[in-house]
Amino acid sequence: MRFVYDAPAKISSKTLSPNDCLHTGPNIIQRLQSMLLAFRLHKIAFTADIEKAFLQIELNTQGRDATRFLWLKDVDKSANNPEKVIVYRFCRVLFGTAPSSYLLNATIQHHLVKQDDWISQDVQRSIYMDNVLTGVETLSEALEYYTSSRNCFQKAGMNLRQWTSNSPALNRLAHDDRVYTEPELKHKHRYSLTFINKTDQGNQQHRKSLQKISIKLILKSLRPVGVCGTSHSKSQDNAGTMETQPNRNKELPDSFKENWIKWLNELQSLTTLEIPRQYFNTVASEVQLHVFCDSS
Amino acid sequence: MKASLKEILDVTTFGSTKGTPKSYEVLTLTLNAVNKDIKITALVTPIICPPLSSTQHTDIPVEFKALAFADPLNAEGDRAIDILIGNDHYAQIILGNTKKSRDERWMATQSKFAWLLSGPVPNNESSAETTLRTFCQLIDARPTRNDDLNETLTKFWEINKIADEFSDTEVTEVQKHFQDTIDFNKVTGRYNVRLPWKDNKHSLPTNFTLARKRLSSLPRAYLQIQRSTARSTQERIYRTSPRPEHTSKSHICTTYPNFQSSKKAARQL
Repeated sequence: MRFVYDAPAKISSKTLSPNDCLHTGPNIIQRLQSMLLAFRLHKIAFTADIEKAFLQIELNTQGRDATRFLWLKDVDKSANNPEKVIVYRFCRVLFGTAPSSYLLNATIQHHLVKQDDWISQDVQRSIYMDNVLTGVETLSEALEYYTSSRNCFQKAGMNLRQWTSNSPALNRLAHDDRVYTEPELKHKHRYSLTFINKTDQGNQQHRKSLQKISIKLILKSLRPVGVCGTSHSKSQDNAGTMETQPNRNKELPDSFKENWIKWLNELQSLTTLEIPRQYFNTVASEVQLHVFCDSS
Repeated sequence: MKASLKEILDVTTFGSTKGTPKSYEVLTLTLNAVNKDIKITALVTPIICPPLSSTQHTDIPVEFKALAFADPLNAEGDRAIDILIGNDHYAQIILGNTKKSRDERWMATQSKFAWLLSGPVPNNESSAETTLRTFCQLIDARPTRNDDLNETLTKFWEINKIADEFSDTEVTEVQKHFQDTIDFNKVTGRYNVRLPWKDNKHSLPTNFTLARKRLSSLPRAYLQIQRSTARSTQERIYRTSPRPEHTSKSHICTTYPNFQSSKKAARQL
């Protein structure tokens, strides 16, 4: 559970809210696409995050009167009794005001710029709010990265934890320091990038060959088109056959049914398709980039 | 750019009285001026006049040096004329502000393309002769064939710009404020920052009553969430492994320590 303070709250539509009186600050967050693309480049990949990042930054005493909040002494007593309500002030950066994310990002950047080593420079490029997502080429670099980046954030009172890597050695090290986290199933895509969702196999209605279902299935499997091109072109063939049919609710011809079932069976094998996270397994001397595009 | 139509004109040049008929292609152009675009109709001719000589070595009065000119005054080399704008667009382009040099030899006029400078320029062949010229050669122009399409396209490209919705002054102000006020607290080992308040902060009313009202309704709302979470948690548990001793209460309690930990970050007033 995370508490978000309601800084846009106003007592009436004519008055100001705390957020109306605060600058949002510039958006200095890293571009997620570039980070994800870079993440697939390294041999050893790892992720980590800063524990309760916002709460590690102090708020100057000047602004604290605006960060008051109420606390109920006894949940069973009414809040209307003034004696039962305690007034606190936030002395750390709170979550929910307009400049919250700017204050966090700017503080981290400020801290990293002051350090002058390749690891801090890399963290600057690979941090998204409180998440670090990056990698290196060798194990010794990975271990150096781990120790150095943890020390670096420690200097700002921040704990870089929840390390996960494809390197067992790095995982062991993090585990010994109690900052390792098991990659959950939902995070598996970071390492194996499973694009294919299981197609609705429980749906046996295709025997009825109703076109509506067929179209639905084709649309479902079109998402990862770039990856499984052959299957995609076949599904388009199928869709083409259907377009020639005048009546959408009528049963399709047997020849179609045969192709259709064949394609459905092929779809099943697609669920085992995996794309490696790393683009290039061996470091090639030359990399060529071929780009195709379509303006439709 | 594609011509929209052709037009035949009688051209009478300097020093002659008789015109010669000539055929020109006609097209419409949009000049990208500051704030507003200007649409003009133009005739196409292979050459307007020989290129203008560089103004690099011209003695421009000091008082004009600070003005933002449409063209850089110190640019090297001769510059060819691409568009000659007729006097029928004078009012559309010229804003009206003028500045004269002290010796009254130079005059700067403010236009939608920034300042224009007129004055004597030494002639290439003999520096004793001077010609009067108005300097404004660099104008951004694009074809206008379909007005609607142009507007749509312009709007489309503007969409890309939404990301930086902050005005530059706000950005630099907020960043400057941050850099000037960030401090490292050696005692606690943490950074100390300030909220970037706007000037209107004094009119921010207290919302104590609203906060108290919300607080008093919170326990009831919380109980409701507790009940619905308990139901779904129980359902999930029973479906995977039925464990009757797993009561709803023990499960929901896990949220309480979060209250405690967030309290640590706060200090009693």
